[in-house]
Amino acid sequence: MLQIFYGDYKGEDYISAPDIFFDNVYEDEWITDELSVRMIKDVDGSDVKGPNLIDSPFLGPIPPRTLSGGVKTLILIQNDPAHVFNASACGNNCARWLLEIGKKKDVRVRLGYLMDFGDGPFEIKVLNTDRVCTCLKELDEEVILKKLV
Amino acid sequence: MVGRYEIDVYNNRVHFHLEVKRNITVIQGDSATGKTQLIRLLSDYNNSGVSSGVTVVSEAPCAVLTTSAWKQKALPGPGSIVFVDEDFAPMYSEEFARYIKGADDYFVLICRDSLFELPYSIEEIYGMRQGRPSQKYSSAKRVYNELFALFNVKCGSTFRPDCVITEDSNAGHVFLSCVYESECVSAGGKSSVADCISREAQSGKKTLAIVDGAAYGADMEKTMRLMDYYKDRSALYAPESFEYLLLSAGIVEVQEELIKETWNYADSSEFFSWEDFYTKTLSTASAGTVFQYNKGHLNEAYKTKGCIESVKRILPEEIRP
Repeated sequence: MLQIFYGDYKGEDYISAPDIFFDNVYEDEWITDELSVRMIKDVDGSDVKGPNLIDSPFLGPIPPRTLSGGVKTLILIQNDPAHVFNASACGNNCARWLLEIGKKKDVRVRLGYLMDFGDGPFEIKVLNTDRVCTCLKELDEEVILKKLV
Repeated sequence: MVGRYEIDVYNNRVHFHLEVKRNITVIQGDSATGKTQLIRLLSDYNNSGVSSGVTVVSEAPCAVLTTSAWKQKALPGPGSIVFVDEDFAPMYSEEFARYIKGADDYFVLICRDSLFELPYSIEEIYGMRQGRPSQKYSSAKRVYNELFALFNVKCGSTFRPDCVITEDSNAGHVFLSCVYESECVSAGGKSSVADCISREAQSGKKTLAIVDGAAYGADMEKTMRLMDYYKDRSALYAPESFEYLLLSAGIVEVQEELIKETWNYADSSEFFSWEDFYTKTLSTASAGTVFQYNKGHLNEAYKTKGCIESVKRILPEEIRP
């Protein structure tokens, strides 16, 4: 299940700048993994040609380091369970992929804004309050009215 | 720093355009719209100038503030437009807010999280919009872009509130209680306006919140999100500030340019937000007159029928009582 800590996360396993972290830790197979290929295509509009080459419609041929911060964060969340990543590096266009990753395994992320996860139904656990929310209205009210962000 | 600046940054593959006119501009939005690429181009240009192959067109120098420069106190300015990427950890700190307050610079902050320490305007929150893949041009577009600063009300319709919410119980609250005959509630601070709208709308009341748009940026996302669940029962009116309304209504006369071209007068080193600027302008212009303005306590002279009618006339027609 996708588990979100809203607001200030102080854990030692926290990575606040996943964009930079990714550049220094990513593995070749993370790039060519089937889910990564789909996420890179959907979020960045780019085609993975190999572990070191991605074809971007805007930038031309680029290395993985030039992927967007959002897609780098998604790839980290999928592949590195040892850390809690700052999902505020992901825009709303990453929301469906966070949900998809969360359908297959438990992942914990930190978020500082009201990401639009769509109307649902979905299952998102708010770690601050331990409540599982199943639609956006429920999630928004939980986060806003309890002043989590 | 004062003024309005058009900025173009480009190389042979991408071209970014934005305009800044206040001390704080926020860029947010979807992933892969080029925000970080913009910072990379500016960094390349600042490191290598024309040898970088990047072109920057701007009347003011465009700097990039990094965490290491911040730690070493190697700060840009004065007179710069300072770009800050979302990985700049001090962005949320009181120390950074103190630095911006009084700085003779403009700041462009790339950040999706709300920055509650900073009084930024709802008008200066932008998302980068990219052209088609075949186009290299991206420009910054306002996220909250309603005519007359009225949100959640269809143009031409009529919204008669049962309840009016103000940010606090200062002069603006007292005045708006005179303008609207309906119940007028103070939210007890701008961070509670969204909760207050939700509570009142849930109880079935048609609820209108009136806030100071010039400093409401950080609270806008949650307000709009909650109002979305009460579409027919909630509305938001966000003029620059209450003092801006009084000045625009002509109750106290000031030079028209102060209102129409505020960017040329609201010096960032003196005013943290335009809200502060309008308060100072109204206080100064009314000093020693019957309309002497005090933000904490509304002068009785403003409660006259003439003043109330003057403000009613400049309210959007949809919410005019």
